[in-house]
Amino acid sequence: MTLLLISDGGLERSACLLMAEALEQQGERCITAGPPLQCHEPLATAAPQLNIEVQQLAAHPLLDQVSAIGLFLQNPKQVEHFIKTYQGLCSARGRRAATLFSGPLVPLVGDALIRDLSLRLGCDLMLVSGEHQRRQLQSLTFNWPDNLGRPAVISTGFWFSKTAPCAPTQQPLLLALIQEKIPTHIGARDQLLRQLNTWAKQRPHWTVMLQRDHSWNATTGLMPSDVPLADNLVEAAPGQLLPLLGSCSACLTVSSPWSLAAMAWGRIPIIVGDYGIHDEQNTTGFFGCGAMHRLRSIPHLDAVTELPTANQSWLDGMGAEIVDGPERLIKALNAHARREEP
Amino acid sequence: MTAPPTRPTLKLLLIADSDSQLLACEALCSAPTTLNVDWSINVIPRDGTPQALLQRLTQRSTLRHQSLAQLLRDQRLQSFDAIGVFLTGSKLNDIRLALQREHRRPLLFCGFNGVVLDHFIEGVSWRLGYDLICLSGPRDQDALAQLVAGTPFAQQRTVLTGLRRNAPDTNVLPVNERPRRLVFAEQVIMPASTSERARLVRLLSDLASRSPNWEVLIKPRIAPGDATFHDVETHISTTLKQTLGVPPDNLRLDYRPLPVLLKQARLLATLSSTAFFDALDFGCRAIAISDLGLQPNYGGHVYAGSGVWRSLEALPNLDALDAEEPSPDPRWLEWMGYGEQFSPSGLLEALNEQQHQKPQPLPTSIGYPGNAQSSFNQLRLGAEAAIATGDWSSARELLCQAALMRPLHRGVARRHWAVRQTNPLLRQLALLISYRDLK
Repeated sequence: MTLLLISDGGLERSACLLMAEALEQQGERCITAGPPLQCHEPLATAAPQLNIEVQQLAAHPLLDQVSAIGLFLQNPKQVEHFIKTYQGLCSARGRRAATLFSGPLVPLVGDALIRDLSLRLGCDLMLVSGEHQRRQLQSLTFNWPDNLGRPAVISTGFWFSKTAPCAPTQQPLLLALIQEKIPTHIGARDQLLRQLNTWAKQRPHWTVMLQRDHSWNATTGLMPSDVPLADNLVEAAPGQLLPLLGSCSACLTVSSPWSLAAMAWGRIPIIVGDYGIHDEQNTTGFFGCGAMHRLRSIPHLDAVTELPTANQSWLDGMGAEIVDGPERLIKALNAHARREEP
Repeated sequence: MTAPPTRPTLKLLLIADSDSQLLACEALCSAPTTLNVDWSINVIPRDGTPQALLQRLTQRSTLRHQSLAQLLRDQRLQSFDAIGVFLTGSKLNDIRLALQREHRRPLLFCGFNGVVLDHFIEGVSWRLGYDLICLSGPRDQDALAQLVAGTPFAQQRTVLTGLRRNAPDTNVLPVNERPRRLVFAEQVIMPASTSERARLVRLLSDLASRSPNWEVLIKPRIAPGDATFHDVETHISTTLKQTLGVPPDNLRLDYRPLPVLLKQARLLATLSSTAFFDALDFGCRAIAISDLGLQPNYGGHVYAGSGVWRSLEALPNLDALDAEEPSPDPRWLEWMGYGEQFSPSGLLEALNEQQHQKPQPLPTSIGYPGNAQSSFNQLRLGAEAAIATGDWSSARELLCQAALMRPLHRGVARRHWAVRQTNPLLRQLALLISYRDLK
């Protein structure tokens, strides 16, 4: 089987490269493709084998030579667009389309999960993170008619490596994952950064690192300019997310999906609960994680070491328990191919 | 001679504001029960609450009109066996937290009305800690069970009250003897965009034109000037004019109550309104409209499994649809909570069973704050309670968190500044200047 894995963002690219490596170990041939990433990225990611814009790929002759195409694009609407274009071209040329698989990579729940599925209906196979997602989709699509084209759904686990790239540092390190648009209230992100700065000042033996979880362009810093910076508070350089997640003692965020890596690797997670459990803050996905804390319940950074690790049963349901994701994918692709045989 | 056994009595108070919540209260009050229930309903005053609905409620209950703040100060709350809260978001929290401070309190239950199309997790997180959460059917129960499994909230009690809102009516005509009439149940924000609302009107108009021997009635969700939970930008009457100019003769708006229309119609069509189930109550055939596709925002994913998710555009005419005798899939109906086994009577029985048990507080575990401590309004109310008792440290903490959530909220910023003053005279002055009556 030859698989083409298409990605267009940092998280997606890193997931595809990891997936390609695992699939090749299983004896499958993989080609990775996608546009070059232009901005500062939180992850240091190798370039794909094929540097090409996603729009050009849909009509590329390479697609005639692959048996399956994995679409991992940041915006699921682009997945829908790609599928329509590709399948339309195949139909016009009288060719059979390759098996299409896709998925959100990060564990979604509730409204976000069903919205995501509604944009991937043209796929043959949908990959979700954990059993929790698979069960939720079963309920959310109860009794749907076959003509809606619901893809088969399999859970394949997390998108990052099962083991941390390094051990935690001896000196305490708090890694704060800063999101682009969350918290959504005006000025709330600056206020959160001020709180981190205050904590850093109070405990100079800690290091507080601000790590963007998204790509960025600007050369300006994250901290509001009116704040005198603590000496032990620093902004992470591009490409450092994974090693910092591995070396941190604790990881704080409102709702960055990368906090799941910290949880899975046994670091102390702090999901900031001050903004409530709301869809617009993406915090609904963390309901039940056992790591949600209000900032005022943490008097200083030393208190962080007393906080519990994540609720393991919740984490398992989100995907941590799955250790054979690539094998599941191959099995599902083979099963689909058998069903499609003339 | 032995005295006849007396029926157990329950003294219940329901608290609601918007019309859809009051409709749920009405359904609850109408539930058949072997218990003797003394109903009171507190309608939180709000502009535009339909008078006809309030009049109907007075026939079944004692009606009160206190604001939430007045109500929470009212000592008579303790005289009820149970209080049912049919409100949304932080208001659910405010009532639970206020009553759980009391040493002895009535049982607390809350509604989660109708067909929940979205924001289920958010909605549940506001309701956790109530002694009983009313859910419509197995669909909601399954979603809640998946959510709380393996968390401290796993023991949360629920009761299924179903989607039958109307008592059986033996006085309705068999469907084939009714006039050839289709009722479209409009929803105020579904669809939300002007173009999609116009498209829906156009679909109905075209169907009416293809079915000249039928009457197509659009039942507006609210009359112009009335209010519901959601704000309405453009009333359907305006959309109708802006889309069609002159509608076909057999298409018109009809403001009569929905039950009246449904008893005299053969068919109901809706995007995702709970009126779908009201139609079944009145023996009217119901279909859900699929023309706008599977948009989860509009509930398409819920009704797609109904077995009657139909495209209006694809219908040759209404005679053809009527001849098909469309009927929802019974498995789907049961999943949603439409069936004999789901009824508000179940709630009354559960309350009667639980009324002598000591209510359990919400489990508090590190790492699971839920929404209870994250409501902006609750933080402000908590700070005011702390200020009233001179607990400056708590007041500072609560207002600090509120300021963190909404850094640009001037009221909170002023109040936060006031409680941080160490000079008692200056603090008192600042508190006086920054005071706002929180509703």
